[in-house]
Amino acid sequence: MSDWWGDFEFKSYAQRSWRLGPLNLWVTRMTNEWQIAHSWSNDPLDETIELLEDAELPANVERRRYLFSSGGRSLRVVPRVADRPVVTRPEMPVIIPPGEKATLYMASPLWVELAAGDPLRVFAEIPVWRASSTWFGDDTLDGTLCYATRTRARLEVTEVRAGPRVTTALFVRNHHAEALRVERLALPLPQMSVFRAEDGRLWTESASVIYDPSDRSPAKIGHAPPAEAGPTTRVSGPRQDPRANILARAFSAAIKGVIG
Amino acid sequence: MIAVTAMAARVEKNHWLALLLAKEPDDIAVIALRVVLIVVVGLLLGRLLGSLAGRVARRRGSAQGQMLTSRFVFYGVVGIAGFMVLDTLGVEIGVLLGAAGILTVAIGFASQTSASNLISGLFLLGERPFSIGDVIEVGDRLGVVLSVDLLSVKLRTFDNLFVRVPNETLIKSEIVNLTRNPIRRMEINLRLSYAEDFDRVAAILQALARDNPDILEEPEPIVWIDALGDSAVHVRFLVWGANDVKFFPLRSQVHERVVRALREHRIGVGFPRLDVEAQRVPPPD
Repeated sequence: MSDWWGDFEFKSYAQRSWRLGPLNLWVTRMTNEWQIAHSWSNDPLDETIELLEDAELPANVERRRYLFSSGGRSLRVVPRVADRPVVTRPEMPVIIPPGEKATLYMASPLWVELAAGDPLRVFAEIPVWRASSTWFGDDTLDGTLCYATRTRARLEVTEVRAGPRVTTALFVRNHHAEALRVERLALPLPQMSVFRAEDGRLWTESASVIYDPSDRSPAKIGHAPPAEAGPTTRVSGPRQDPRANILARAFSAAIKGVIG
Repeated sequence: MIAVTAMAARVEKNHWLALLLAKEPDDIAVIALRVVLIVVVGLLLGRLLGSLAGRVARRRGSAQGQMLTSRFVFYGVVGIAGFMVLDTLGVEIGVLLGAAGILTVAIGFASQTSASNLISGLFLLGERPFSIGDVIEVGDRLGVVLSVDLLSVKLRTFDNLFVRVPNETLIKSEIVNLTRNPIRRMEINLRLSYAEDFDRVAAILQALARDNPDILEEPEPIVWIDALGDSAVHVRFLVWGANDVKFFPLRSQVHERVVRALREHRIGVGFPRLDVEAQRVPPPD
């Protein structure tokens, strides 16, 4: 299967459409102008990926016009991570007994970035799915606005579904004397990159959390996707500098999330 | 002789002016040039340093800090330039400062309100209950803070009126900062008929909250019975949203969808009701 992202050549007045799960995206190239329209279906778990030439734009979808001094023929489509951290709740309670460890695979929605012109300029960014917002913090004053998703917290890499979503492998180790009940997890996605595995699935760097009350910094973002993803190539970079101060906050957020 | 004495007295009174006038025309030209140079350079330097200091303050703090720092630096540099001008003109700064001190005390007594506003302004700057760009409610005025000055705070109300609120009023009043916290709750109060099934209504309202991506999943939406009224069950529907420009449109949207959901599911609203019972009264014997 060819990738749905990359550079796409458009003839004058050519039209293409992408169906990326719940997102339908139409792009038309005019003279020094790109027209974009999009809509979402009601199924956030839709895995369909289709790329159609000369797809007709429905009448009820609103178009937006982006004007360039020299439009160029090429459109760059890039999958990006979410622009806020994502709080994921397992569909069923996940409990890790004392001394045990587990790797959970969690899928998060992607953003589609569009760039055109000479030099290339990013002119639009559309989420594949409009995830609900949520608040993650100790109280209503101190915390972070995030996106909320549900996960099945799969344990086998073969069970990770394809589709327009990015998967994060989270390694959790419970060093505590009590069982760890994972109720929610906050992934600092804006500080992560998107990688493509050989089978076409998209991954972020893996992350690890050690639940141990004596350890004050147990969460870490790795440098690459997990080994079980196979060889990967980087498709897009992080939105925020992972070395920034925000990292510390995101880490602590992740820990709180695990403790839930 | 009399004329000469009067002139000497005037010269004594306007000592610096006399000195200036006693100078050669060439000297006056040089002094004038110096004064002009000091004023121009002072203003330019004040503007430049003020802007630079403002940028540094902006990087480390808020828009309010930027404005105050740049103004403070600008007026400081302009003040120094002013002293230099007076010095060039031969005015004794020490004497002037002494006179200014006495004058300040006199003005202070004469303008207590301004002094009170000034001191209140300093307290406000220290306390920082709001900053530029925040939406605040003071008394019955609701608006966006345009500037925080030493004597007053300027607001732009949502019907685009310019309001100047004296700092003294702000110190004495209750201020509600609507934009300080990143998330905010909205309350939708409903009056339901006693005939309605509360669980069914709660499920409909929860589904409505779940379907709207701008309503926060956490803190969780709440539906509860607030009171049992005379003619209706008082129900409160509490949901949270991001406290940004989208908050008021979201509140309107939630109200609209609640009305639509109540209509679609034919949920009865409680109206004041009076049961009238007609009784046949036996005729008097």
